[in-house]
Amino acid sequence: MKIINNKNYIDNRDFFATIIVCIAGTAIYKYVSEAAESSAQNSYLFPIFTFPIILLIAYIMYKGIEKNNFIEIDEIFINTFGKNIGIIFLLVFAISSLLTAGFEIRMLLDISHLYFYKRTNIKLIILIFVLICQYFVRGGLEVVVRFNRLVLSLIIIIYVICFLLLLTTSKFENLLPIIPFAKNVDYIGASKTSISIIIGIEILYIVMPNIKNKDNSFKIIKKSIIFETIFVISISIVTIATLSQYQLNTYLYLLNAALETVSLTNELIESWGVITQVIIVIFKAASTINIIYFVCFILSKIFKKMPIEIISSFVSPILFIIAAFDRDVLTNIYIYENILVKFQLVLYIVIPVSILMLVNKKRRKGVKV
Amino acid sequence: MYIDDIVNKDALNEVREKIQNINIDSVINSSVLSSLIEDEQSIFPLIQPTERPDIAVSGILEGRIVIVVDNSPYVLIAPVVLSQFFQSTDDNSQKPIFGTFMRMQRMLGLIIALTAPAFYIILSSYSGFCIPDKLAYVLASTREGIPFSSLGEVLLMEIAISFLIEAIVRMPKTIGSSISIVGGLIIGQAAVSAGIVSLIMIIVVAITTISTFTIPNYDITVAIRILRLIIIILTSFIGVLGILFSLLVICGYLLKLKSFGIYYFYPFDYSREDYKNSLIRSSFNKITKRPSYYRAEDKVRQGSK
Repeated sequence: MKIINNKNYIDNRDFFATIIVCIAGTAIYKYVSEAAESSAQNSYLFPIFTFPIILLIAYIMYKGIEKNNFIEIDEIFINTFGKNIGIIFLLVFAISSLLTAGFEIRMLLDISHLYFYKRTNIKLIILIFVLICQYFVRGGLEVVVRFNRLVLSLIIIIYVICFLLLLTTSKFENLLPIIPFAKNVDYIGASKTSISIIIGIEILYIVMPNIKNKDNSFKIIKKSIIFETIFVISISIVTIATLSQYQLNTYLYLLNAALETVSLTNELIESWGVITQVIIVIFKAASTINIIYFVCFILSKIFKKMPIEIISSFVSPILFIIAAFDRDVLTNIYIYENILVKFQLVLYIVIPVSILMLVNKKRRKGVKV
Repeated sequence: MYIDDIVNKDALNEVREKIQNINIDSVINSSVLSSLIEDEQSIFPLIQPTERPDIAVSGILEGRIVIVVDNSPYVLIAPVVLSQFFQSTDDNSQKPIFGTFMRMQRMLGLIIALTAPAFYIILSSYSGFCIPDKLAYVLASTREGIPFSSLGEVLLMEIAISFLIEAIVRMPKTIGSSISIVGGLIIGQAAVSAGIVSLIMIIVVAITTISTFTIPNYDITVAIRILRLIIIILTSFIGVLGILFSLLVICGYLLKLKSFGIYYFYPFDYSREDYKNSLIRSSFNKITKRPSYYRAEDKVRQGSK
């Protein structure tokens, strides 16, 4: 007998946790490293400038869902674009999210390789990781959302740990001079990186039809994006304040590199980078679970409501192949940053804007949506 | 037994339905009934057995159902959540701060009981991990001359401890204490002297076993022992990620598990109001509501509605 598993079971806290887990799970690694490439020690300033753009993208997505009366994603797409184009867009969205998730898994496990399993084959680790994600996805959205709630507390722990540890080694003169308009800053690259912290936000399409308090939902989205922005800025500040200009330019994973400089002698734990990495793996797993659920949900709708349990059995091997396909660390990062992230951002803008415009047009014509 | 104004009606109907569907020649005791009506076969207990009247009354007042079986000293309380098994009636007879401290200690006990041997494997097999070099040298030196791998050593000791616990549980109290001395101290010391296991391993096993029994429910301790074995084996294959991945799977398993329609993992996935008398033990004048996860009909326990 199912008592809880009815519609509208996601409360405000679940919703907040889900957004944070989905978007912060991706941003925690990449942001500082990527932003340092284009803007060096000014990278912490960019999320402040791009915050309104991120909020606008989320607002357009929200508005599109709201104007469609919070119906499921497949109905929104088919009602808006027609059956064939709607299904094509759904497939594009699903494939793009799946590719992004696969490359992110590889990136995470490449970094973890440095800490945890120098002798073990990475493909075995990817296989186990994907199977665990599938296990959660099979539990349904409610299990995924409740897991997000659990992981949110870990995110806060990691944030506090990183922040406090890095404070012990930070030299804040590294942040000076504040020169956002300097010649060596790649503004477009830095802004793109800064906007890319929104990746993972597509989960709104799955979660919003099931939330209890729909009127309040944009407030929650706003709060979670503010949380994410503060999170990214503060971690960037302490990381940049810890590393030198040379280290910023040469190291690949800056957050980890910064944490490796923390040395608390005569304590039980010597390498804090390892401990933080452990928590990051959990939290990245949570964000991947959400994305895989998103993909499975879309595919289950496309393939005549086939159960998510069965769909996930097809999606997992594909995800494994994407993540395990032979490539080096730099190629993985290059494809991810230069193709997948850009494509995802284009999708985040093109699809929600088209949905909103077409819904408004239909309403003006008097068509009932 | 239940109070009509308070009880969770959905759970009550489910209990009724399941009892009515039983078609068996005899129900010898409450454990048989428990396995007949549980939602699914799980290593965790999905029904709470008790022989204490105060726990049964407390269950009824939380909106749960007490099932009494003729000729059995135990009653069954359904539904139940995992955090219930970390509570002891002694917590309520002490000051809130002491009760909270005891519960936190049990949580820590759970984490140590699940992961301590796996951490031993990581520290002895997978480089220094993140501990200081001096400690890593101490670990390495105690393992010098041990003929088994760290996994073999851990499994050997786990099996020995399981036998010891089983023997102590089945023996009368007077002999049980002698067996624990012979098994724990004499054989342990002899194994170290003979060079079969390391001294650190004995410390790890002792801490793990003691931590397991900080949890006041035998069924949960058995579940922990089984899960610990899985964590140990996975860790020996893939190191730190073995602990992480197995904890994730346990977490996923617990998130899916239900006891009579109630999610079993509540309120670990946080619900501030419900922390008051689950993970922590608040003062009784602060516990104004019944636990929300049991979905009692009447939610207010004291004060105006």
